[in-house]
Amino acid sequence: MFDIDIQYAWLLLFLPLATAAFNWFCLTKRPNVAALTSTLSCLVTLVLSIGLIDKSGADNISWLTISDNFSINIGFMLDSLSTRMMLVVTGIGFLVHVFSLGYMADDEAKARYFACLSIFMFSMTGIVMASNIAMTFIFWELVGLSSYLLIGHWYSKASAADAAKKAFITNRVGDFGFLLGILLLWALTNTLDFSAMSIPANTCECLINLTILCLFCGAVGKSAQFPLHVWLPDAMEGPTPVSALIHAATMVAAGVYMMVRVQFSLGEAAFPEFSADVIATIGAITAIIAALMATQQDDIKRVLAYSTLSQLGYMVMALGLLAGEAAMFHLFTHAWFKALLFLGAGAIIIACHHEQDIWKMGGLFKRMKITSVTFMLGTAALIAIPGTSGFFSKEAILDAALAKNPIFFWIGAGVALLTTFYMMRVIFVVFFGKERSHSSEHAQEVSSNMWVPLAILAVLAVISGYGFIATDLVPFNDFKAAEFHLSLPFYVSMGTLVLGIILAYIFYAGSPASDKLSGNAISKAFANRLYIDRFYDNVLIRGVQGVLAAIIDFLDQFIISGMIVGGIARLVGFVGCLLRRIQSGNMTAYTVLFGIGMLLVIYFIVYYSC
Amino acid sequence: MDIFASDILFYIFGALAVLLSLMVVFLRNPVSSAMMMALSFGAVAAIMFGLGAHFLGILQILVYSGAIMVLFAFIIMLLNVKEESSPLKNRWSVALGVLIAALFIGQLSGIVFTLPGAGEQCGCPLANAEKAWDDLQIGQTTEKTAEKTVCSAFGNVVRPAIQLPAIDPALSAAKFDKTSNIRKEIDNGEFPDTALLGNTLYSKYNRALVITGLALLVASIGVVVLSRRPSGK
Amino acid sequence: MIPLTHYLILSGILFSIGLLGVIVRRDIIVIFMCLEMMLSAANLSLIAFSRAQGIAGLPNYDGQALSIFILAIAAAEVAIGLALIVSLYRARRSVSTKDLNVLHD
Repeated sequence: MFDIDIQYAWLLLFLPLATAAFNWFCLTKRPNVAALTSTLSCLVTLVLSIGLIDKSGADNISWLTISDNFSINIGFMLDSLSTRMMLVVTGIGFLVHVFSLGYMADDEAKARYFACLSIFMFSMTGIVMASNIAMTFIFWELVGLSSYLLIGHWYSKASAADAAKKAFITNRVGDFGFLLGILLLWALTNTLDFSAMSIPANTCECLINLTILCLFCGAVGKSAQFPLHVWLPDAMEGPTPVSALIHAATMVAAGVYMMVRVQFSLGEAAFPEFSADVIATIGAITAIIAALMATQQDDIKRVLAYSTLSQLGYMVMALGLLAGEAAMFHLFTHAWFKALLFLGAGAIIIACHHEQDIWKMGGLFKRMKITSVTFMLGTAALIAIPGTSGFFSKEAILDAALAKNPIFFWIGAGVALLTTFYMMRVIFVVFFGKERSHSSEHAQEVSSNMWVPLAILAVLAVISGYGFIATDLVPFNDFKAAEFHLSLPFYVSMGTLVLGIILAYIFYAGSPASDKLSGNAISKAFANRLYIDRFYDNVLIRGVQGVLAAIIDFLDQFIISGMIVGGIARLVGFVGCLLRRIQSGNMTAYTVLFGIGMLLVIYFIVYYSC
Repeated sequence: MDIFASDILFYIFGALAVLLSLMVVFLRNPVSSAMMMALSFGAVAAIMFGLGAHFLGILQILVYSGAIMVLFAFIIMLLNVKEESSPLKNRWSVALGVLIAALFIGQLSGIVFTLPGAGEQCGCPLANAEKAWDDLQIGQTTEKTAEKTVCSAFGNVVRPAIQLPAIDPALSAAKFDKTSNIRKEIDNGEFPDTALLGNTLYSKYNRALVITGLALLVASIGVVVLSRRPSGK
Repeated sequence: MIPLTHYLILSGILFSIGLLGVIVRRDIIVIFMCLEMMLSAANLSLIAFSRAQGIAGLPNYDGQALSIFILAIAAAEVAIGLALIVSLYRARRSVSTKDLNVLHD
């Protein structure tokens, strides 16, 4: 690649911010210009991140110096991890911008949309390049903000506004733990810089466990792991390109990225067994329940959302198995093909006049050749057909699982089976068979600025697993992308693949008018997300929150309002009543007071000595 | 303390001024108050003459007794102000007023009669009072005579009387140019008070004088504006 | 000779009587006259000081200059104050402080 100075990383960081500000403050009246500005700025960042791809180095500006051993820097750290991740962020970001030009062409608030996208690019760049974990946290919150803004882009729709709120608040829960984790980490290592981090010997293992699990809380929130996974499916209320960029490819991966970063900084050996097990278990649970739920979703975006959850569960499981390189590899390949799938879904939704229910689609293969082919390529990568990128990364995770703990291996295999099943279900229902509704009968291929990004992503979805792209993805010497052996994991995954396709073919090929599997109690449970959302609503929100609200209401009404605020007010009122007598409006009284004041002044100047 | 015959005039006019002022306060008719006021200013002017401030004494009579009090009398008659009931009926305000005035005079005498530098010998708590007095640098140009420390029963110190220096223009005749009028008058044995004051005002306080003139101008404009009838009526 | 302190005490007494008048009187014109009395008492003490600070046979004219300024400002004040009183009288038909308590409400 071409050679540029690493100082350009600052430009990479702040160009999107400048664009966002410019769009927000200057271009709200010219949405088309705003869209082009954002896209161009994103192109520049893409070029910059390609230029920076083999660079390493760091630069820091001291931001807050609180004491000798506690200071916070703003800076970037370039290594193979962050530069590759930047490639993902800016690459998918750019393609999503281009796609949005078509997808959001008629939107009323286009300028706001693109400004928010730029804010997102800025914050995501910040997370990826952050040289210390405090800076990560700042940008972590900023991606939360931009995610909130973008999910709630159509805020006049109640469900979108609620989903935005849900995403934000659910993330708060995780961020609270994350912040505690940062403080604990600082207490342990005495530094916030990733490059200088190391856990001193003889540290109590329970403390390390606590620290890592607190940090993991942040990842649970941001990467939507069980039990905080509930926000991600609802986040699909946002515009589809946003789902592709933020809620599939980049932001939700930030949790995994951060954990990988911490794992590399501390050294894998520093992860005690307990916390690793907890992380792996959470990842496995998320992977399996999300995959189960995905099998009974009817909304095409929701299927993909649950699929994202499930794949994120995979990555977290790999993290817990201390295979950060496998997690990162899967993150890398997943980003491309999941973005492709979401954008493809967006194209289908646009073509079907904003119809999202797969049971009202069908036969789209004939009408939208390019979209269909690219979507299928994405699916191929997701269900790990050999030779595609997803195959290699999933294989890496399964290898690691088998090596560490066979239980996780079999869970992974089960998830792979389910993944194949639900993705093939979508393929069969959406692209083949008869048209099930008026809107799918009139579907047409989307415009070129939508299918070109799809095509590019399709190519990347297939090849991104090969060594010439993914090599040196993680700073590990022994890591090689696109590697597999004819071993148990290979046979098992081939088996799940074939079995999944056959099962999906049995149930969904031909042109069934509705889901043959729906109707029984189990599938209802899956369709209703295993009632977890309802549990949160009824027990946590109504029960716990209700009691808390009553307590806080008592505190607020009686203690604060009644005694503190009200008490002060009453005291002031009382004193005021007394002072009112002085304020008589009577000039004589004022003169007397003036005279007394004069005497006091003389007394204090002349006579008063201490 | 020796009292010269001429000094009796000070006490006479001082007593007169105090008496007339009290009449200003306690006479019920505002017109009589104004007349007493004019007379009281006259008495004060006489004391100023005694102090050698001839020009200011004249000004006191011209401006206060002449202009200002006439203006007051004019306004009183213009507005046809009624006699008010005797001020002594406002018992509370009289009591408070007398108390405040008495306390003020007490404080003043505390300062005036305290000797600088003698407080420590008496264990006197009035160090600040002495400092205030020292800051004024009163009487330090005269030789400090007979600084006898007299401790009073309250731990106070009775200050010996500070005598005013005699006026003798001939002593500083050398400061002035021989051709100047001031010098000529001094050489003639006169005391050119007005010329000396003018000399100070127009040289040292020139700028302040101009600003004062401006203030008077603004005041006269203000009076015109204030006494204009509202055009709506 | 009369010592300085006597002049100061006299000036203080006149000042106190002025203050007393301001406190006890109800008629705003008389109150205003008492204010003038206080100013003139201050003038007296300034002149006494000017004499006491005398250098080389002449009074210190700084004090007298200051009292000239006080005189000038007092004249301006009287003019403005009486104009205010006149317009006040026009508005409220009274010059008694008993009737001037709008600030109370």
